[in-house]
Amino acid sequence: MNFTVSDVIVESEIITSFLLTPEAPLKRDFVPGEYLLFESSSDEGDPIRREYSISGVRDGDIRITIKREVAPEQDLPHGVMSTRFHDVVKKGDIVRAAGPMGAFKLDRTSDRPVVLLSGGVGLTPVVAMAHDLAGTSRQTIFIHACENGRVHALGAEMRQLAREHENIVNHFLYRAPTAEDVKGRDYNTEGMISRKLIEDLTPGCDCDFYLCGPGPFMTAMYDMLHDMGVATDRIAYEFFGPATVLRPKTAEPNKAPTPAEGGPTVAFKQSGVQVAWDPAEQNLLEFAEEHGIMVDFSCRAGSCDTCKTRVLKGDVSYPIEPFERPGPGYALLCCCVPDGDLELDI
Amino acid sequence: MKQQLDADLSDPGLFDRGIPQQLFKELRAMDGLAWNPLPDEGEDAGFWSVGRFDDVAAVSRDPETYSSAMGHIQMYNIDDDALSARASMIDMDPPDHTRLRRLVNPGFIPKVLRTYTEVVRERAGRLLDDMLADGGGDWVDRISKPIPIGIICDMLGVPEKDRDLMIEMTDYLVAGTSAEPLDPTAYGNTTPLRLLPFNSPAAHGLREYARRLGDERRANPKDDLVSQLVSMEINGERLTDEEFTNFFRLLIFAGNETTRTAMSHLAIHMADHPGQFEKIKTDAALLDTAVEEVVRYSSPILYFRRTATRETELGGTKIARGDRVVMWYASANFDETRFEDAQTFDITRPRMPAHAGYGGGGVHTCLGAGLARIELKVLIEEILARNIRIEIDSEPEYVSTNFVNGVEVLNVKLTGDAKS
Ligand SMILES: Cc1cc2nc3c(=O)[nH]c(=O)nc-3n(C[C@H](O)[C@H](O)[C@H](O)COP(=O)(O)OP(=O)(O)OC[C@H]3O[C@@H](n4cnc5c(N)ncnc54)[C@H](O)[C@@H]3O)c2cc1C
Ligand code: HEM
Repeated sequence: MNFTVSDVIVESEIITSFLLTPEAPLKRDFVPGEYLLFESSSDEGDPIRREYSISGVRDGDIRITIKREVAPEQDLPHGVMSTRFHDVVKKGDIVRAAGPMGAFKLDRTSDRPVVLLSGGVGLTPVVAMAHDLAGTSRQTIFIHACENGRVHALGAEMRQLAREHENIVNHFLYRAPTAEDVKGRDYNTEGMISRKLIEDLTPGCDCDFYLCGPGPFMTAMYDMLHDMGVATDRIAYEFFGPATVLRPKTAEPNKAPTPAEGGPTVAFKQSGVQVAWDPAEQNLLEFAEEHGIMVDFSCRAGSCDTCKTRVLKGDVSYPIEPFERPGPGYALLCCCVPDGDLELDI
Repeated sequence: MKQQLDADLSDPGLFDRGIPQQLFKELRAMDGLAWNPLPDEGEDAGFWSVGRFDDVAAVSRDPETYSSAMGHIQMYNIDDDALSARASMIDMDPPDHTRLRRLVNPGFIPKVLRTYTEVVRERAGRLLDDMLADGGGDWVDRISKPIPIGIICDMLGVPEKDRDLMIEMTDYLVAGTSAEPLDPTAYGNTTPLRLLPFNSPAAHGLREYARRLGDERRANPKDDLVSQLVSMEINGERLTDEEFTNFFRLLIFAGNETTRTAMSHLAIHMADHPGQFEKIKTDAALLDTAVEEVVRYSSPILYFRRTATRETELGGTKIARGDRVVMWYASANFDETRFEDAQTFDITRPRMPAHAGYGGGGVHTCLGAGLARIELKVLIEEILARNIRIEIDSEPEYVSTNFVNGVEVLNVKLTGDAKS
């Protein structure tokens, strides 16, 4: 459907909002958290599609809020769609989008308190959620982390929302405040979101958590909540990029054990990993898996040959006798351990 | 004239009181393989019964000669269209099989499986405490059914509210291998039963369920195996929708009835040999061997079948291309040439030589063996931690099928110290 750009509002040095008037009423009301899928075409004529979360509404117009994505290195192009919005699109223009859509939605049937956690431009969908929650009986804690006041978007709007509604509480964190940023006025905490901060802000809270932000932020937040014992079905999240599954950290992170004096080293050539052999491991298959290298396997007991791997350097020994030992130059990883330094072709 | 046993191993009735040990002893003692006619399927129809461990292993390790894809993996035949409609990795040969295993293996490595240990402990502990409070009941219903399906559902990400439906559908799935007739329209099924795994309408129900859950997780990924399966890419490959639903269904079946069976037999063994299990308290190393012995002795899956892709010979018997070859794990596991005092239940039996409970070796070796081991191990630990004594209240009732060594009802009395 076509939308007319009815207003353009600069929110910060790098973030700008666009108000859009739909040419016909939307097929249904949006649920806070949802986005529109914008379509355009590249200079070569290929379609480009990008999602932008709905950050609010004003007089029946829909608001989206877009960060200018600049090239990470000099010779690379800037972000296509965001640059176009920032540099080309102006009031009165027509843009095309589908939606509203998305699975990251405020659960309005829950009556639990809500914690909205965002990093950078990831605040857009949760700002829409905060507006929806304002004035309800659900305590809402809006925690937002960004670099500093120069890039902080929608700060004034959120402060006003909190002033007008008792159930909304803000907490802003600046990683690197500038000289103009005043603690207590512009932001509450210098640094990043910590477990203690969440625990202090939400004492004993059985809450619904909504997360949105850059990948590393999301992973850190998700792991932190998980460590705090928050059930995974209480955590909803949105990535502003290709969807990734967040899982709690499983075992301990893989620390390469310091080699026992003179202990063997195992090199996985194709994977570019070289680690000291851990004598506590049962076999090379599990050892590889511990270090994130997936070897094909089936039986794990020396009968199917699936994990047979070429040995480039060194020798192995077999504490577990397989059905049949592989020919020279190969090892059945599920049954063997290194016999001195080893290089494998995986 | 092909040599035959004096009984028809396709008759579920033979397994009504557990593994027919005497018959299998005769099978192992025969010079070659035994031909088992299936007169209902035609004059020449039938299958070869393989009973000795080494022969079972030889078949299992040679998928080029003994195919899982050509023909069915159960003893009865099904039409070609039904075969292709059902295909999951368990009815495939390399390289198709290899591709699918590669895509799902990462969810089943020890490092990942270990993270379920505490989940199992929580579930098992709670169920044991409840049952202790009642002084006993039906072990199958209270313990062996809910734990494995609960864990599989935890792993896949099936919400708690749908667990009973899962149990019901899997029960209904196995019912397809028994003599009881099934309602073809159950779970909204419209597919002809002959096209469905186990000829069961529940197979349709499970597929539809998987499809819905997969769609949901694709849109809103969570921390579970379904989210991983629908999104994971390995070397640019990913599961198709059909492969995903088939695998989901395979997991629900394969990880459920099997482990359930082992847990039911565990209770019987603990009742019969409390002293053996008591020893684990002072010698923790026996826990692992006990788990292996329970699976060997219960042989939850009684057999799988292969189909010969070419003329061959096994144990001195000539096998023609297209012949059905049935590997009786339940016989191989009691092969007296491999296991000393094979008929004795002994938790101190060394791990090696290995049993054939998880298959006879080769590429189809049970994907979930690691998980099953964790489940059994933790259940034993939690039973011992509560000093539970199990007393069998009435003769166990077996599931009427020749495919799983399942126990339908196992009434027991329990005494011990609840933890909560
Ligand atoms: C559900 C959802 C909701 C979203 N909501 C919002 C929102 O509310 N606000 C918002 O601002 N964004 C949002 N996004 C992100 C948005 O959809 C776009 O992904 C984002 O604006 C970047 O698009 P682009 O076309 O500008 O950049 P792209 O052209 O896709 O490029 C992305 C980045 O890669 C860099 N790049 C380009 N070429 C290369 C190269 N060869 N090597 C390395 N780097 C390169 C670019 O410079 C740029 O920084 C959302 C995303 C999703 C999935
Ligand atoms: C004590 C419990 C179990 C027993 C006795 C058992 C037994 C078996 C056997 C005999 C096979 C071999 C099939 C063949 O060779 O054709 C097999 C395969 C399989 N099992 Fe298990 N199983 C158990 C538990 C589980 C669990 C818990 C899961 C899943 C979580 C599982 C998933 C599978 C799968 C997916 C296959 C097919 C593997 C392939 O074809 O590559 N099993 N199992």
